[in-house]
Amino acid sequence: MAFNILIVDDSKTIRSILVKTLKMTQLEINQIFEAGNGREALECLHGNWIDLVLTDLNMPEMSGIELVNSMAADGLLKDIPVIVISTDGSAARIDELKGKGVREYIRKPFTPENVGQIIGKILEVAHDKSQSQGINQ
Amino acid sequence: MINHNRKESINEVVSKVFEQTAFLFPEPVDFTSGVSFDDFELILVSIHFAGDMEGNVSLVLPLEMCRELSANILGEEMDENEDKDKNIDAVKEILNIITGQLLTKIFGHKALFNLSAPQVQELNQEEFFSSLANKDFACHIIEQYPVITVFSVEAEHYEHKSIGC
Repeated sequence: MAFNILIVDDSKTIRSILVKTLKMTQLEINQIFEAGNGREALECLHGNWIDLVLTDLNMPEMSGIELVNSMAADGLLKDIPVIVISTDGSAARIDELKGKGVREYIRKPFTPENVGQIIGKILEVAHDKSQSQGINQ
Repeated sequence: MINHNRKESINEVVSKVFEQTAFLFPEPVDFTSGVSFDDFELILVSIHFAGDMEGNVSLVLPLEMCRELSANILGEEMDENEDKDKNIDAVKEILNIITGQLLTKIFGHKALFNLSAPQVQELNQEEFFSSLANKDFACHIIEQYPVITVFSVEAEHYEHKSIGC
């Protein structure tokens, strides 16, 4: 199974690093989408099949937290796994995000190995879940 | 008043972030020992933070360093056709990471802050350098380039009992 991944960050630099990181992993990737803020991300999510969202928090127009809230309130998007990648090291912020269903929190600076491992783990779980739901249906 | 713990924190965080993000190795230097910025066109990039404290973290560095920084971060050869926006974006991201790491280092994981987007600001060199005497800052040489990182607090709302410095 090949995955579609959406990267949401207002920094082109970080988006480029994450695209390279994803291509370095052993993951089967079909398509990588990019968005510069939460609003663009929602547009992309409504127009494409996305298996995983990697998002920054601090972005113009619509922040990562607002994106997470919007996804959680949308029946079609609420089950898409979200990984937050941010500079914010506040324990309260991380707890808040985990409480909203964010699967993992990666703090910048990150290593490609670390990001690759975490994404691999999340996608494996998501894949197993969709397989078992398919069997049960 | 200069806080030496904060200066050490700035030194530590700047070294860590440049090393891990751009494979560049900052060498801390004493600003008063003749570091020269005269040969360079400088840029000032700042982030405002607000929350348990309010203030700014700023980075001053030579414009020509941005190209090398961007190439190192992205693992690319330096472009012959310079893309200034891309290079500045790399500097903004470095400052973003430094700010996040510095706030946790100084105020701990319990403190909560909101950060502005990094902004390139006009640099009045005379005013900037004369204001350093009253600020927490660190000066580094990175490759051959002088870089200054400044941490300034405008308003303190924080309960000092949980601060680690």
